[in-house]
Order: sequence, then C-alpha cells, then structure tokens
Amino acid sequence: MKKVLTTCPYCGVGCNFYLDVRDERIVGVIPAKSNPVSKGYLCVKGWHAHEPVQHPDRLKKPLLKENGRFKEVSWDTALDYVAKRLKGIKDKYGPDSLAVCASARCTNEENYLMMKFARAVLGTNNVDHCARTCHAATVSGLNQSFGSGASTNSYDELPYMDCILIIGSNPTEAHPIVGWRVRTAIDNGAKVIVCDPRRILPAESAELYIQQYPGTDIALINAMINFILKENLHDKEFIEKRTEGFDELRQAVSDYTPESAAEITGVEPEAIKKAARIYASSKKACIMYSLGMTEHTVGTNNIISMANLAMVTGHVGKEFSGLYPMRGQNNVQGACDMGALPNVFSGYQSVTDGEVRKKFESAWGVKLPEAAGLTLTDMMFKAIEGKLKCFYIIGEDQVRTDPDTHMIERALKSLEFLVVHEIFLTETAKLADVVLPGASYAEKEGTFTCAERRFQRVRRAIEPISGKTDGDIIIEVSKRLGYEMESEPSKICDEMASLSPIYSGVSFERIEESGLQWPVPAKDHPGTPVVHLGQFRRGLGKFIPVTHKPPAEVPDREYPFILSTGRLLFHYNTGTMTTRVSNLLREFPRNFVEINPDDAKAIGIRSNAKVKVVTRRGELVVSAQVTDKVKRRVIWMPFHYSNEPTNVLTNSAFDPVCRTGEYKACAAKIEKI
Amino acid sequence: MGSKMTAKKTMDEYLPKNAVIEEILQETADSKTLTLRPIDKGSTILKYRPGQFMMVSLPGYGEAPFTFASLASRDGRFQISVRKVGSFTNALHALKERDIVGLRGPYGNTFPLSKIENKNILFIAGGCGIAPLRPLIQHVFKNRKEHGRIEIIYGCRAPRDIFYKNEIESWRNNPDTAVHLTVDEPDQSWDGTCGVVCVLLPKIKLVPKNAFVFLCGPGIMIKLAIQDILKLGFKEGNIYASLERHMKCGVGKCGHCYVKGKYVCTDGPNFSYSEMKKMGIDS
Amino acid sequence: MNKLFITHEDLKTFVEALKKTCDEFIGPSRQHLNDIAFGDVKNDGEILLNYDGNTILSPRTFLLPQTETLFEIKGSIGGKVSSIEDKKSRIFYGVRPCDTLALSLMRRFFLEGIVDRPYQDKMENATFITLACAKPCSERSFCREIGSGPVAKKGFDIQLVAINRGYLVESGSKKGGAILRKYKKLFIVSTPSDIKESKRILKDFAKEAKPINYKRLAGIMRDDLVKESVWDDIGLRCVICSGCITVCPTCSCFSVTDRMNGTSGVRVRYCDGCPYAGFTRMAGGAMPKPDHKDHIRRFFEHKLNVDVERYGVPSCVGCGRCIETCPGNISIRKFIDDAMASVKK
Repeated sequence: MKKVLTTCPYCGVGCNFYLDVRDERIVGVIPAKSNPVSKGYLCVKGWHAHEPVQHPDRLKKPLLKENGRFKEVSWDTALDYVAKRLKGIKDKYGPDSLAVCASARCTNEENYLMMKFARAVLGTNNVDHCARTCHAATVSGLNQSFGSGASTNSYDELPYMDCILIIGSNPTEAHPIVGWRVRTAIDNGAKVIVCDPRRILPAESAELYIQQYPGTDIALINAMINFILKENLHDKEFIEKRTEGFDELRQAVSDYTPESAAEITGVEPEAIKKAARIYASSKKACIMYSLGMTEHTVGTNNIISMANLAMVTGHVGKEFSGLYPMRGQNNVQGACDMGALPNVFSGYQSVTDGEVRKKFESAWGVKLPEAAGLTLTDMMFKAIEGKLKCFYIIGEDQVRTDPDTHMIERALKSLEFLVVHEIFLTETAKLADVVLPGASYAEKEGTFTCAERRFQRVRRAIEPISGKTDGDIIIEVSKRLGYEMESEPSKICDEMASLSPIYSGVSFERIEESGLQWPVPAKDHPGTPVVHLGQFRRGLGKFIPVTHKPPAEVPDREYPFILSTGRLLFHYNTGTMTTRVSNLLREFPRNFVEINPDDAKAIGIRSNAKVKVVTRRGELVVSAQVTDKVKRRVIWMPFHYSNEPTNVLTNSAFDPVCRTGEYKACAAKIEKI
Repeated sequence: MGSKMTAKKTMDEYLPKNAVIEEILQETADSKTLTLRPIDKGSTILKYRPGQFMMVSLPGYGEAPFTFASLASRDGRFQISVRKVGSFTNALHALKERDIVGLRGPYGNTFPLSKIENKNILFIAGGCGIAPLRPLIQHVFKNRKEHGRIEIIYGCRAPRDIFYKNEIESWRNNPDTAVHLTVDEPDQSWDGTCGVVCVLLPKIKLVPKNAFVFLCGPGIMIKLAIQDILKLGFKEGNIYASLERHMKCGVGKCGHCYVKGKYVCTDGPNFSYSEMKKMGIDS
Repeated sequence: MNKLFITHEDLKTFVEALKKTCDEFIGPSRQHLNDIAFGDVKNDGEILLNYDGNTILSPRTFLLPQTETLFEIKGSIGGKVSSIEDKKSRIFYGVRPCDTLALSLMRRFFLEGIVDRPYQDKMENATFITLACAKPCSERSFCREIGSGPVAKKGFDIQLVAINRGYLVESGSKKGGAILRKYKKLFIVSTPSDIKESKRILKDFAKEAKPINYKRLAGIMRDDLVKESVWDDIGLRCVICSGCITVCPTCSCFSVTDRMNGTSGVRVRYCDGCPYAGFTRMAGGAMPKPDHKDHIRRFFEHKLNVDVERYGVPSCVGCGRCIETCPGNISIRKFIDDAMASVKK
C-alpha cells in the first residue's frame, strides 16, 4: 500500500494529488493539501484521474500493420522495424523528410529526449507539438512585446486582485483550480469582467459581462485603449519609464472609438467604456486569457493587443498584475520550454544562432541542422505535397484535434511511414504503420511544468503497463540508430539544466518540496513568481500596433452562423481518457451544438432535436441544445467525442506567424433533420 | 483478533442468481416481453408479490431494475417487459431464448392487496407503464369476486405501441369491468379514442368514494392524471403510483433513488399520493 | 468510571504488540510536508502515536474505497459471477472523534435493513482506536459546535485522550474491553489529577464553541423555510467537482459498473453522489429534479435534515473536509448559519 504524490495529467493548472495504490491497483485519489498549486482542491477530472490508467482498453503490446490490419508483435520486432524504416527514409530522402510530433502530455525529460532525437539522431529541426494548436500565439506574441512568452505572474496573486479581465477563457471549466482562485477573488470583492461570445459561468458573478462576436477582440481592446487614453486613465509614468513605441500605439488606436468598435464587436459602447474604466482604474488588475484569444488567424496580434492594454495601464511587470495565459495541457508549457519547437532548443535558444548550436553540438557530440524546421501545421501541408515522408507522433491525436479533419487524414495517409506512441487506440493511431504502447503519467518519473511556469514532480505509482515509458522507447530507437542517450530522468533533467540558462538551477532535488518557477538562473536561485519585475526580459516593453482583421471565413448567405468550438469541464480534449470514466461520460455522453433560442425558433428546432451542422469542410449530425448562453448568429460545439468529431467542420486557416488554426470562428449552417 | 470474531455468514445480496430466458415476444417495435425461469438453487425471486421489482444483471453491462410484469406461473416462470432505451436494454434485446441472465430480488414494496378487497379499482397506465400494473390486474381478475368494479384506462403514443394486446381484450370479458384505450397518434386502423389518458376519465363509471387508483407511466402523465383524479373525489391515501427512478443496487444503499429520506427501491416503488406529498414529489 | 492510563513508552509497546495481531495496521502517516493520511503502517518502524490536525481522508477510504471490486466475472452471457471478499483484519489507530461518530452512523446505514455484505466483511474485521483531540484540527472544523468532538461518545473500541504524561484509556465495546484485558500489564489506573488535566484540556478546546441547535435547523429545512437565495448561491458556486462526496466521512452513495477485458472482468463499485446531473437521470433522459441547485441541495438536506430524523443527530460530523476542498468556496458551516438566520417570511 502506498501513496504516490504526482501531478495531474489533464489541464495546465498543475494540481497535485496522491495516487492511492493498494496491491498494485490504483484505487483512488487523495488531494495534496501541501501542494502550492492545488492546496487540497481538485476538479472532477482530477478526482477521477486514477480511472483511465488501468482501464482494460490500454494498449499493452506493440502493433504492426500488415495488409491493413494490426498484428501484435514483440518490442524488439517493432523497434527494429521502426529504426530500419526511419534510417531508410532518412538515407533516401534526407533528414528533412522526417518529422517528430512531441507530446504536451509527456514529461519534460521525455520531451527533451524527443527534440534531441529529432535533431541529433534524425538530423532535422522538424519537431513540434500541440502548443501549435493552442498557445503558440502566446509564445510568439508575448516574445515580441515583453521578450518572454509565458505567464507573467503567479496563481496565488489572483485572490487579491481588484480586477480580473477574463477574455477568451473559461476558468471555471477549463482551469478549475484557477477558477477557484477567481471565485475567491470575487468573494474578496474583486471586479471580474468577462468577455466571451458565450455566457460562461464566471459571467454570472461578474461585475460586467461583454458578449462580443468571435474574432473581434482586437477591435474591443483597441477601443478600450482608445477610451483609456481619452479619459487620461493611462499610467504615464510606467509608459515613460518602461516601454517604447507609445506614439505608434496612440496613433493606431485613434480609429477605434467605443462607438465604432460597437459595430464590429456587437457590444454596446457603454459596456466597452465601463470595462476600460474598471480595468484601468483598479490598483491590482490582470488579464486572464486562453484559447479564445490564441486560436485565431490573428492570434499573435490578439495577444499583442492584450500586452498593449496591460502596458498602457501599468498592469504588468509587478506583483498583482500581468497576463495569465491559461495553458491547456498538463505539460504544454514544459514541451515548449524543452524546445520541442522547430525554431528553438530548450530554454528558447534559437536553432539558427551559431553560438547556441555550437554549445549543443559540443554537448551532444554531433553536428546539428542549421535551418529552423516545419511547424506542425506545415508538416501536414508538406505531407500532402509529398515532401514529408515520415511522421513520428508521440501522444497526440491529430485526426481529432487539428482543424479540418478530412485534410489531416489525407495528410497522414500520404506518408510513407507513420509511427504513433499511444496509450489507447485513437483515430490517429489507427492510421499508423506501427503503434508503440506508451505509459501514462502514473507510470513514469519526471517533471511537468504548469501554466505558472512551475516545474513539479511526476512520480511513478505502478510499473509501465506496456513495459516501457515513452522515454524508454525513444532511447531504444535512438540506440538502434547508433546514438546513445541518458535514460535516467533526473540525469536528463540535469543535462537539460546545464544547457539552458533560464533553468540552470532546476534539478529533481531542488523541486522535490514545492517545485520551482522558472527562470531559475542559478543553482541556489529560489525561482521567479513574477517576471519582468523592474524591467522586461527584452528591456523595455514594446507597444506594437495591431488592427482588427475579421476571421478567415465570415458568415455569408449560404453559411450564416459563426461556429465556435471549445471545451467542457467534464471532458478533456479528444475524450480519450475522460470518456472512459463512467461519472464523466455520464454527465455529457454525446456531442451537441449550442444554439441561441431566437435562431432555433427561426429554423424550427427544439432542444435535443437532431440537426446537421455543415461547413465547407464537412458535416456532422448532433443534437441541438437551445440556450441563451450563446449570442445570436453564433453556435458553439465541444470537440470531445471521437465518434462525433467536431473538427471535420473547423477551418484550416492559420495565423501566419504562429501557425495556429482558427478553431474559434468559421462559417456554418444548420439543417433541420 | 479480528479473525476470532464469529462473522455471520450473510447471503451476499449483491450476488445475482441465474435464470434462463424461456421465451421472447416482440411486444412492440422497441419492446420485448421475456419469460424467465430461475434456475439457481436458493433463488428467492419467485417469492415476489405484485408491485415488486428485481435487478437484472448482464455481465459486461451491469444491472438495471425491472418490475415483474406478470404473476408467476405454477411451474416457476414469470415475465418482464423491456423497452430499448440505452446500452443495457440494447444488450438485453440482443439475447436469445435459452440465454442466461442474472437476477437479484424481489425488492420493493407490494401493492396493498388486502386493502383493495371489496373495493372498486381504477387502473391508469401509460405506454410501458402497463407492465408493473399487470401482475396486480391479473391478481384482481384471478380473484374477481373479491373486488368491486374494475376500470382500466390505458394510453399509448400509437396503436402499434400497445402492450399485451390479446390479453387486454380478454380483460374486457370479466364481469363488471371496463377497458378504455387511447392513443396520441392514431393510424388508419384505429377507431377508438385519441388523446392523453385524462380524456378517458369522464367515461369511467366508478364511484370514487373508497375506490383505489393505481397509476404507472411517464412522470408527466402521473402528475397530470393525479390532479384530475383528485378533482373527481378520489382520496389521496387511496391513490397509488408506481414510480420510476435510476437505480443501481435495489436495496437502499447506493443512493440513486433517494428522495427526502425515502428510497424508491425499499420504501417504494409504490407510494400513495399522501406519501408522495410528504416526499415533495408529484411523479 | 475508572479510567485507565498508559505511558508514552507503554503505548509504543502496545502498538507493536497489536501490529502482530492483524493483517493491516492502519494509522496516520506523514506524507509530503504536512500532509497526514491513513496508511498501512504495520511494517513502519516509527509511527505517529499522536499528531496535530486530521488526516486528509477518513477511514471511509478503507471501508468504502473510492473504487472497489465486488465481483469477478468470467464469460459474458450466462457468465459466472463470484464474490471478491475482503476479510482482512484491520486495526485503525488514531481515528478522530468526528470520524468515529461517522463510523457508527455508517455502520448503522450499511448493516441495517438489507445487509451490505462488502461493508460488513470489513467492519466485522475492523478494530477502532480513537485518539481524542486536544486542540482544533483546523479553522474550518466545527466538531464542538455540532457535538461530534473533541471526545467520542461511542463508535470506538478503545479511546485515548492525550495528557502530559501519557494517555487516558477507555474501552467502548466488548472487543475493546477484551483487548485491554489482554494487555492489562501495560495499563494502570488513572489518578484524579490525570482526570482533572484531561477535563481542563477539553474545556479549553470547547471554550468558545456555541452549540448548534441541529434539531431546530432540521425543522427549518424540513419546513422548507431556508431562503431561496441561499440555495441559488450554492447552486451557482457548485462546479460538480465531487470533492465533498468523496471526502465526507458519512457519504455512502455509489454506482456499479462492469469493467470487461474481453470476456472476463470485474464488477466494480465506485464513489458517486448528489452533485452530478447524471446521478438521478434515467435511461431515456428524464430527470426528477432538473435544476443543478436541487442536486447539490440534496447533500445539505441529507446531512442536516433527513439524517437527524433517522439517527437523532446530523450525519455532518463537522470535520470541515468538504469546506477545505470546495473550489466554489461553499461552506456547510456558513450554510448552517445562513439557514438559521434567514428564515423565509
């Protein structure tokens, strides 16, 4: 009998709990009161985090596809075959015909190995992961504005805020234990402003609720800045001392009055003014945002506009302020930090920087590729073009998570060789030539980094069900390709720290007690709860003017609705784990589309009626939920159901800088059945 | 120390005992009536009385409650009627004659058989709600002389959804008995009443004073029918509804069917309207 | 009543001896930093004989685990279903009075009427050694006010009350008495000053506690006099995390499912309860009370209203665990105050 303290595998908050193990079975979850992130609180998914681990559907043996059907084979057979095929394709087509999709669900150490594998063994910078589909805009946006693309402040400042501006985020459902802190802030008297096309739960207790159209956030924020400047509510001292480019910003927002923005956003000018006034005149104010802001063709600019707003009011670069990008996955922050990205090594060090490359070449003993690699988005396009021949995917279900499912299927089917690490047989795994059964969070040692930049330990509760962790598998394939890698997670962490200045003080020993928030630039550094204190990482914060641009596909006569997609509290992403938990599946067993009552009446449908949602990419039959939570002309669907995949409908239009897809807005029509 | 305790050998109430499916009848498009015969020694199933239910267990699909839908025959068979609504009932529908199912029970309270002797009785059923009432109806007709006037009102969505069609006709042949049927969506062959069960209430020739009413059907039907029956002068304590709730254990432990201190599985499923009022429910 | 006494050293000896007589010795053990949780400390050298605060979860986690296999299933149609029995003998050491009261209520719930065999197996083979509280375990607990602490009145086999030079010991059952007789060499009769000291500690503990008139509270709830705004607020705050029903020592609801691996598998029972919409939803979608606030309301009605009628005391034992795990900041303690204060006109 033992209790193993570990980090939750679901969202990016990073709660900890003990897995209650008795006779090799995990029978339950005990909240960890001593953990600084979760403090003894958990959401419904966390309370059931033990259930998917030992589910009968877990993949236990490697699968090799023969004549279109999977056959169970031994580890040696599978790994020998994978190594042989990888080498073959590399020799025939060159290293850049291969790509690795790392996993935001796997540990930091495993992600480090994955990017090392791509670069040192396969010889390509074509490594990316699902941050591409969510917070790549945060990285690219905040990097430009502040010099660092992660959360600026910490969770525990939230309860003390005077004002929290929540835009494009649903903390109660997507980040529940941060949602708890928002609830505490409200109980302490904070004024919460919610901006969302859907009337989410925090809106019920908000000081002000703004219901803008999807994709109109820049107009909204520019109008707020316009009003703040007009009313002299901006922080002149902060702008003077700590920023540059203010005049360009002032010029750019002069066109965006609340009245003109009202037309674009569908929001009353008075509401825009009220929001601006509350945010600017609060002493402690912050902005919380998530995929509602990043998943647009203007995602990077959305983020920049929020950075502008924060800097104009002096609400950044100090305690009780800042931007809180709510990272989606348990380790998407970590996967980014570890350099599982086509343009950087671990610690956000550029692959095109000669000095940096020399450092890594010396440490890894091998020549490294010089040009930045493909993003996940472009890997798909290149696969269809025939330029990408092989894809090594770890713990990611692109066929269900990426926009325009049919295109993704075409892309994966065009490959010569597809390897997938998975714990359950997902739709993407079904298309693979080889499926390698990986390990869940409860079966490995390592670290995750959560949305407040905190490294936390992940500890093994049971032995890997398939016999190997994902890290073990990478190492074995690498060995067969002639390259030995360190296998012990704590030593991998040490190697990573030695090569990445902003994490050089991180080690298993140092994070054992309460984790550490990076930057940790030295071995005795206590970690950094608030970044940009005193000065921004790039020195001065940069005002970058941005302008409103409508989504790539706007409603027209034929497709009159704006389709937006998102998440439910009870399910997690593609539902691979949560639909296998009875209590979670029972709450929301099937996909549905939320539709405004006026729109429903016009079409002639009632709640629970089956309807067909159609876009230019595909169609889907789901049941309708008539609710006044959504704005007129807007419809909303979750994407958690593998057998009713919402992404057949979404648009494969991407932000030009960060290549994130526009999941939040495309044009759709609804047909009565 | 612990092992010295004399642990009483209690029967494991959660352990199902086997029964064999002897016959399957397609009752309506989405419902089947199964004739079952318990085969495990020690099965207490046949001790059931009208109004009670049991838990049917299918390995791999879990369990669900079903009321006994007939009196037991002398050779130990009885029927249940199953409507296909979810994964469990889907699996049950896929079974064939001679397949084995697990049973636990009987559970629940019985209809007040002694109280209704020499009384007039009105039965109101909606859709598959006729099934829980059928054992009581059969009991009353088996002991016809011991009961007063019998009126049966039965409503379904459409003529094709009517259960036990032949048996219902035979009920009409009983003395001092009337059977009224109604449907919401008539087809060409239908020349009877149309509408909800309440439209038939004016037709009954039953003296409400001291008469008993037994209802079973969709919640909304029970709620509205009771309102109308009260207006006709039936007493609250003499109106009984057979209630439906989500159940997992059937023995008052799992909590799913709990309503303000009462468990529909052990204190019910049959409640008088006065009891329902105390529980704060109307269906 | 002549209370016995045991020194710190002899208590160590007593515990070591007891460990040899059972399959599992469940005691409080220190986890990460200040977390204390019940675990099998049979083979641990040093165990916590006395501790501050309360364990994160109550002994319910061993008697009604979050997931528990009930049956083994072999074959599908017509398959064989056989009981999986857990008859391990367990001694629970260091159970707090609030959790002890919870155990006595749960014993009644599971063993009255139709007996719950899995719970009975574990209960019959369990021995409970309660450790009374010398000071409040947390700000949120209110055992003094609701009458469940700081000393247990029943539900234990042996109770220890810590004083300076050792512990006062009393037996609460035949089983407890037999154990004390078996090891009588370790116990001596307590002195009057021992008794005086323990009375002073307990008086200090309960100093500012104003008892809650739970019978009046139950009456207010029974007559549906609590203001609707109280229920609305709770319904808005509750995000269905299921924490309250998992940590509460007197929550007992569960659901059952079959987990199959091909044609063999297990029938599992697992924690379930009021807050979920699906808890009362029937096949076909009908739900007796569709509003979310009525679902979470049921938790309060059950603990503070209905169970007063059934047991004479509320089944909320004031341990405060639900308050410390609710991400909506719902407090059953605050609810009690609100309910008593806001009576509908």
